[in-house]
Amino acid sequence: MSGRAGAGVVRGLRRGPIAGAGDVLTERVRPEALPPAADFLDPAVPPPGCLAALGRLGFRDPAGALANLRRLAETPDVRDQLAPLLPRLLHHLGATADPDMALNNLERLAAAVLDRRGFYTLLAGHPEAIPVLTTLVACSQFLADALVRSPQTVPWLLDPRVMQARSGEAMHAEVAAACRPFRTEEARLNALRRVKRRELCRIGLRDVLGDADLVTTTEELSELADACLAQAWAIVEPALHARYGRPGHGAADGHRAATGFAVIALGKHGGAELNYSSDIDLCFVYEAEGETDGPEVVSSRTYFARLAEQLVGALTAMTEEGTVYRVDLRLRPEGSGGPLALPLDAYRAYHATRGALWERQALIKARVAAGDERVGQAFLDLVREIVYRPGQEREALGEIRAMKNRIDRRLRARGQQERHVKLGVGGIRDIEFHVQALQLLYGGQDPWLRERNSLRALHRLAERGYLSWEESGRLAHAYVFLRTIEHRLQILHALQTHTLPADPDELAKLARRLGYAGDREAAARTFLLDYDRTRRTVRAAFEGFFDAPGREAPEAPPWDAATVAAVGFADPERARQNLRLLWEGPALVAVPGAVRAALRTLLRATLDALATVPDPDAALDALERFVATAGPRTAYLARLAEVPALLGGVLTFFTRSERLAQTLISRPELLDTLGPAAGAAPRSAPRLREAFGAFPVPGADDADRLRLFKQREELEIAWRDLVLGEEPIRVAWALGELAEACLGLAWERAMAAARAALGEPLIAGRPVPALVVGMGKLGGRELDYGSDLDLVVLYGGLGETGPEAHVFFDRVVDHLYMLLTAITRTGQAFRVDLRLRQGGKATALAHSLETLDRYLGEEAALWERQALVRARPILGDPALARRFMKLRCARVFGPGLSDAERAEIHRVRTRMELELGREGPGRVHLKFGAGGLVDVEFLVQVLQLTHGARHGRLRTASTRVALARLGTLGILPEATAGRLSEAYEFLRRLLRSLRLRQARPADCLPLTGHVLARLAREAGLDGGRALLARHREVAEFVRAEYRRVMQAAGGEA
Amino acid sequence: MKKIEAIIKPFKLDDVKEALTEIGVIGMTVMEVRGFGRQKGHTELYRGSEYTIDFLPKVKVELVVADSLVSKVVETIIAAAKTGSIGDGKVFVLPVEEAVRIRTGERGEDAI
Repeated sequence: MSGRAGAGVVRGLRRGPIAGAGDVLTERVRPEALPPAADFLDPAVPPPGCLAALGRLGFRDPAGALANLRRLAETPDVRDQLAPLLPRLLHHLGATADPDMALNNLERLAAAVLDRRGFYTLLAGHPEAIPVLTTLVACSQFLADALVRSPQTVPWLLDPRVMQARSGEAMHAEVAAACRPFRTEEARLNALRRVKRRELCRIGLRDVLGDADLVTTTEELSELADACLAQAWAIVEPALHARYGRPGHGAADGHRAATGFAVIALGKHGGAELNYSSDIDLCFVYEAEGETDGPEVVSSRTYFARLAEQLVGALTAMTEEGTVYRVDLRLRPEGSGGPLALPLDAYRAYHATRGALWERQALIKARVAAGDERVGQAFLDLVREIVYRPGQEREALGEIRAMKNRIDRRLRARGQQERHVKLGVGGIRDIEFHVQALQLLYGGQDPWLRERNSLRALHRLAERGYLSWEESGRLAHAYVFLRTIEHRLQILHALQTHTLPADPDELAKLARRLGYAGDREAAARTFLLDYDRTRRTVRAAFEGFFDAPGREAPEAPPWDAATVAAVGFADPERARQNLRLLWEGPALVAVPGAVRAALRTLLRATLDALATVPDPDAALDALERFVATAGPRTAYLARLAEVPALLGGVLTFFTRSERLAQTLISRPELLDTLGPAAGAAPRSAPRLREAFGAFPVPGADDADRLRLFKQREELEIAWRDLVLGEEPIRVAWALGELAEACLGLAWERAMAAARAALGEPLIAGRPVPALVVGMGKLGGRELDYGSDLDLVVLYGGLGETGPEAHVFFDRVVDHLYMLLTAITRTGQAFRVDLRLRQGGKATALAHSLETLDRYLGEEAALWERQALVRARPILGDPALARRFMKLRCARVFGPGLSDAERAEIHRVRTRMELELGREGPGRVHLKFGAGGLVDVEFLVQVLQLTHGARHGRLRTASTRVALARLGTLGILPEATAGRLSEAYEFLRRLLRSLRLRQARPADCLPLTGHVLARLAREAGLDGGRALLARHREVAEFVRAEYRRVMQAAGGEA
Repeated sequence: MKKIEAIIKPFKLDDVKEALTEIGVIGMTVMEVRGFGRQKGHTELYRGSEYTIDFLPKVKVELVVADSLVSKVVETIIAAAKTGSIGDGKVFVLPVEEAVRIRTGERGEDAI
């Protein structure tokens, strides 16, 4: 979702084929009801029958239409050629929004083509030629004019490769290629105009046919403008270089550096939401003052002013091929009076002192349209500073409202306040101002909101809770509706029309072009109803936001200084700020009385509860974010306020885990599943899989359902763990069961998908058996929050019929991997690691048991054998699982461990310590460091490998269990085994607490600060020093035992 | 003297005309033709409708130039007509034995 976040909603707004409105009209006159085709074309036939038929077809001027038809076929041979096409042609013409206009344009086009016979052959031979052309020339006069001007564009538009969405890159390449063959500036400028016109036809045609939605169309129009800009620049700059040389400035190191230049798009062009006839709003920026290097030396200021001037000239000049764009430069500092191009510093200085709010507001949409990326980025960085500065709230709201009031007054004076789609009351500008005001208010603290595209900005505002999803959705629909109207108005004549036509007939045509069905009056009426409803919705939202009463003076907060002081915040100032945010909070969405009351209760309860949690500062921080995201929804607030156990739990939760707090913050509805009810016992994998069946999420696919399900379950486990204090062993078990359940669900789906795609490999009529083996923590039942799943997938036999087994299971594993690991809008289910399979990364994703057997016997490295100590079948064919366990017993434990092998394991361990642990002063690595968790694991595994052949009970995948058994079997002194177990649990607990906090660097013990203090408190120790001392003691003991084991049989360590 | 016949994609006509004008070639004959080369025979999907590629619309540009200009003209046409995709067309060069300007009776290169 990164660059194009919000695309989900945006795509959701895709409208049906707008001009396809004709489809509902096609029944009006059946072809067989027409007089013979020849009658329409033969001037000798008296007209009455034809005129009546044309009238029935929907022509307003049947006599004009008949004259046009006869002009299409003035000679007998052409008449014979056209006659068979005529019924279809009339049928499609009648289906358009304006049959008279369409036929008129078609006649002009037929007169303009090189060879009319060729044109009719094309209409006859290409199945879509007639519907496509009639729709286009009925919807857009200016595109029809473009076709008449270059009739050779018609076959191009009928090429399937042309009628597709085009990337910005393709557009740039196309425009550049079109200008490349020419040498003179004049010829290049002409070529630029031709290619722009052609592209416009393509984009417009896809638009009126409904092949492209509003978002795609406006994006492509913006990309076309970018490409034309870049090309205009390439055309004009060589002459400037020849005359003045290149501009440069003194760089920091004293050398002369080339001065970069960028073209910044603002307005609709900036937002990538350009219309057909929008002006493009531009401003120009260069890196720094300096001068050119000659022949003729001029200041950079002069050079770039010339460049800007010529660039604009190249776009706006009227040549024999017309112009490219109208350019508006008034958004630059000082407006029309200011210099065309300015250095970065000048923009900074201007906005620091003189820039008005509306100028900053315009910069929200700034985008680099062409030029030097470095300079463009520097400009955007500057824009962020300028636009999103803190503390402009009240000022901004008042000014924006006042600006809109002025617009309203002006339109009222002209009597256009209702019919002006863009500026009218409830028009496009209302939505834009509403969005931009919210961005100015909150974009400072939340970079996610700094989005220049209006639709995406609406989506993001909802994501962050500044608009409710309902309101954001309503506004997005209204925006698309209004922009589509604007679009249809403008595509007609390419004029900057924003006003609905007053003439009822024109209004009816507009309605038909927008896809409203029925006769003219009905279409116009329904359209006006929709239009008025939309405007009212927009204006209501606008007023609700800008004119909400009571915002200036919120009620007195429900707490006093003494209560706050009594909590004992470490940072009272920040705490007060958080409390204020909670109270006034998302207040710019007007806070209803019920919410206010709930907040009052909640805040009192919170202050009481905070006094009892270990880290009130962090808890309050997280609570503020939670409430801000959940929005002023009374239900959540009331629930929290009314159930003290829930509130206390949530606060504890927030202090213990950043990670899980994030989950709850992004999905506040999960609050419903928590609380005392979550005390129910953890569920086994089969139970969980049953529960998944009854876990409907409307509109979500399997991958998303799986993620949402996993998050919910994990949250419950964490709640029992952190809030209700469940035993660690039960928590670990629950996490393992959850992982196995998800794995099972994903496996079933991956198998089904592969079966559907490939069929299934069979042996003796039965499916080839398969097995999923858990390795690492999954194998050892030691999973933690957020652990990777280490997997190996095996199958038994090659299969006799159906797809080859290795192809099939490769596909299964690939799909399984995607289902679990892909990051979708709902996040990621698990990270999965397949690198422990035989041969590692470079080999197939799944292997047969037979090849594994051979591999272990012949090539496997020692570490691969060692990794299999922690292997455990998770799901799949039971017989295959037994065979795998037998093989593991023989291949992994059978050979025992030689001294050389023990030394090899020690060498690997030493490398891990040096390369991954990297301990030193100030860095203690709990996992890879000296005496870390891996010491315990390796020590245990060495003993398992050494003695596993004799003692079956040692062949467990679990480090915990193996440690205990090493003690019972007397391989380790029982006391030592016990102390090692304690050390192991101690290290695990510390690691887990750190991971829940997402501390960085990962797995390192912080040596000072509040995180250390909290870890100590959770470990029941008195302060950070005590914890550090305890850790040192544990690590030294572990390291000593590790050395003892490594040396025991003569291995040097 | 040579006759140059270029079969090009229709939408490239204006570019070819402009490019030829740029190098000083003014007169030419243009006609719409239909033909096929390697593109024929297969079917394509256009907005969901299938149709068979048969004769495709092309434009033929014909001009007669002095021998000294031939390679320049051919290169210019190729540069202007090329899109790089299938169906860009072909250029043929044919010998011309004689040219006569009807109005004046001029002959040879003077007549072109």
